[in-house]
Amino acid sequence: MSFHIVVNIKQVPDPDHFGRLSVDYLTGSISRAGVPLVTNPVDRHALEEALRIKEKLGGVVSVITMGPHQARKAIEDALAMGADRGAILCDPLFAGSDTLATARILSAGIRSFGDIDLVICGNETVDSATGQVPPQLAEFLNVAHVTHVRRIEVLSAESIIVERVVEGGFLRVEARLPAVISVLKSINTFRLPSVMGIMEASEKEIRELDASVCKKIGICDDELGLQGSPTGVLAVIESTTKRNASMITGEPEGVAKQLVAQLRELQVI
Amino acid sequence: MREIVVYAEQKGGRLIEVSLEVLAKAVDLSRVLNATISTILIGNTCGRAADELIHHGADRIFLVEDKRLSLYQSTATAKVVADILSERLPEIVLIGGTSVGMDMAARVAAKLSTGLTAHCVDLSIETINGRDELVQVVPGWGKRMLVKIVFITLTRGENHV
Repeated sequence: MSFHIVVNIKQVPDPDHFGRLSVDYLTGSISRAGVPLVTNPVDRHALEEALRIKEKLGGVVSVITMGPHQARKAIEDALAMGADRGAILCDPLFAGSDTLATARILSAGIRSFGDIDLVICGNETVDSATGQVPPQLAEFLNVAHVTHVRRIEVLSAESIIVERVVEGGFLRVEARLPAVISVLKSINTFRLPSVMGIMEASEKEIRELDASVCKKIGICDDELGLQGSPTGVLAVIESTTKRNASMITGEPEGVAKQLVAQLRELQVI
Repeated sequence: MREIVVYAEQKGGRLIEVSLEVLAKAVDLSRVLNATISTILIGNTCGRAADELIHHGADRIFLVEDKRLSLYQSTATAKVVADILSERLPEIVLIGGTSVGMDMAARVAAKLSTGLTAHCVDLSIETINGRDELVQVVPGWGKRMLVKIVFITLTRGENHV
């Protein structure tokens, strides 16, 4: 049994530096100056899970990302962690893609790898946190999907059984392979790249894919990037949180009445 | 007549609270848009939940009952919902942002090639270029920013709240 597992990764602004983000009200966009780029944190857990499957059952792990040229760094890091090969989807036509267009483009990139058994993604990215890409990707690949996965219980040549977290518990879900799963951070503790890993990474293949991979499977240019994205940002507003404190003293009955009155005034209740 | 569709999520045949919250928002929006409200309810023996939806303002229920659908089945549920929506072609679809709701909404949006906005904290109708648009406010970037989103090219879309 040998699995071909594809791991989707994304390079994002480092969440530890989100405090430095500001809104450029002239252009209506977010200024990321001085914010370093890192691999989306949960994506490393996705890669770790793929590497563990490969170590246990054998197979090949491919990593793929969509992004500008500097996103190559995320692929290099993944190769150093132990992935076998990488691909970067990079084309000016991809710019401005929302989740729908992104999933479409990723599906084209993944199809270019040939037959696959399993796609593992992080459950969501720290920048937009929609978690939408994995199910949308599964739809475009025409395979099953399971999100919010905290544990892979059984993996066989035909199917996968996982624990999927829901509010107040979890569901045990079986999905036929190939499938797309998106995992939570709690699924594992990821490894750090070893010196050997880093040295070996430079020998590994990184494919550069452009919009022609989309065209090859019948995706038109107008389904990509800004044009292919039904959602658009109207405005970005910096969110401010103000804290107010006031003390209410007196007899409990009076305090309760005042509290209710104040909460009503603030339209909390 | 314009139509807003709400996906009502149930657990063991009972509506989960967020379904009613989303329905309440749909009622607000329907007044502005002069739209009717339909709900989709999928599960097994959900009759009482359906009544409850009517009591809270739903004009119409699409009730899909099957023993195999008592728990969430991502592939089947998304197909059922997408089939209903492609027949109704509503202006707006609202789905509660639960673990299941977000999972299903994404797959349905991909099936319909339509826009989807996650984590909406506010929805309103604004007139932009002479057209009624659904403006969605979502927190982003570790909740440091509030982002206003609209559906640019299509006249309908989905949101989960």
